[in-house]
Amino acid sequence: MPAAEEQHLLQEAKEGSHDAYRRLVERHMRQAYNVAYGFVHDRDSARDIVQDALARAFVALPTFRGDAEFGTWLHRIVMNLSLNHIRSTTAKAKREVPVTGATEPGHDHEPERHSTEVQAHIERALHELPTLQRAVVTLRHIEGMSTKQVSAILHCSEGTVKTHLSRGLTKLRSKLAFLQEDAL
Amino acid sequence: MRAHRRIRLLLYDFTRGGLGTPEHDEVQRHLAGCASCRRELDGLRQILSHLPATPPDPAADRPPDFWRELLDAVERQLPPPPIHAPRFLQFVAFIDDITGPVRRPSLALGAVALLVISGVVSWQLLRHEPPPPVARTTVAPSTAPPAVTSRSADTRVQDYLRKSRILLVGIANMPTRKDEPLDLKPEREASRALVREARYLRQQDIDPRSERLMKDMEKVLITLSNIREQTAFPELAIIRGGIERENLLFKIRITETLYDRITDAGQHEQP
Repeated sequence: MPAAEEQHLLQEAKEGSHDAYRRLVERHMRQAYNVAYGFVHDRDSARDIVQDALARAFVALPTFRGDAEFGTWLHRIVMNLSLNHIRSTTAKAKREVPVTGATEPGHDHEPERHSTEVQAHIERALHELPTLQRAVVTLRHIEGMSTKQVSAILHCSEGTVKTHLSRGLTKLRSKLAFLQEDAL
Repeated sequence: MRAHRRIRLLLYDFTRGGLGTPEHDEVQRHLAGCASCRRELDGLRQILSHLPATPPDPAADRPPDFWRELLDAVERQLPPPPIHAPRFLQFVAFIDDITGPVRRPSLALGAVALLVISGVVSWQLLRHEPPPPVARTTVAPSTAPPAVTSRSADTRVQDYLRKSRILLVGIANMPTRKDEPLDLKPEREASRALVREARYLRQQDIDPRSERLMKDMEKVLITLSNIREQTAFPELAIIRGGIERENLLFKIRITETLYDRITDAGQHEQP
């Protein structure tokens, strides 16, 4: 969407137009969903988070000064709600991570099943990372955002993003060491 | 040690080809002479090989209905959009609408009924009570706005009454539309001007009825002056309630009638 068109829709949405807001968020809701899903790994929860985030963003629009792009601002709301969701369901989420058959990874000869199990281990390891490290790894690596974009969403310096990314990946490496051994 | 730490922070971008030439060369030079950082790089590459190589797109497999329902659900959660208000000058056109060609019979009939009732009641009141004397005051040049220093206080009171009536009739009959934003800026500005005018006039020697009316009007006008557009729906209802509770339109009409009589009497007395 051209910046001028987005600004126009933004202004109309700020003045209370539902139609303008709908057209505005149509361009951002898919990535917002992906960001939420990247954190919670659950379609229903991701949908609820995005719905909540879009409703909250509309109410908060008058406070949006345009220092960052609307998409960045929206993703920050999505990320905060995702982290809140994770905090409130951490124990439950840990229990619900599908780890069936994970005791013997690599001993299963069905490639598809093996891939699913590996994915489950990775998701579990991501869930176990400290909040900021998980946020940075998800946004930077899984979502493919730039260091600058992540720093804008997390409201921290680019150096801090790099530090959390490095630490997060080191921890992931430690948690998933058996996968590396298996691969060798 | 600081060099190792700095290089390790760059390793991710190094593996992704995201470094500029100077930093890329710097990392390569360091790796050539540092076994520890080479091991770190190998480990990083291994873990990245297990993570998704391309950004996953969970949104891609969601059907169009999913997004439409999501947006519908969001819209149901949103506060109602503010309503559009006609500009202050459009109030006059609005009055013309209901007093001119009958395009809205029920509204016009209501307005006519209101005028008839007002006329009968005011005639009854005036028949038994002589109108209070309206003081003809001298406007103090030091406090009156320069543009109107030549106008007498009673003319200004009449002007105040006329503007207040138009404003309040407009607010009371303001059409509300769900899908259009509410812009009450002209009404707010008109209210502020009327509050300022009333405060000035109340310092003058004006008749007690007008003074009481201005006092009754002040609360409603101040509320209107400070109305917040985002929450215009409830506040507009409060203002409309104030107009009705204080019976302001009726009081304005009565006071205007008194001034009209005085003006007529003054014209007849002139040779």
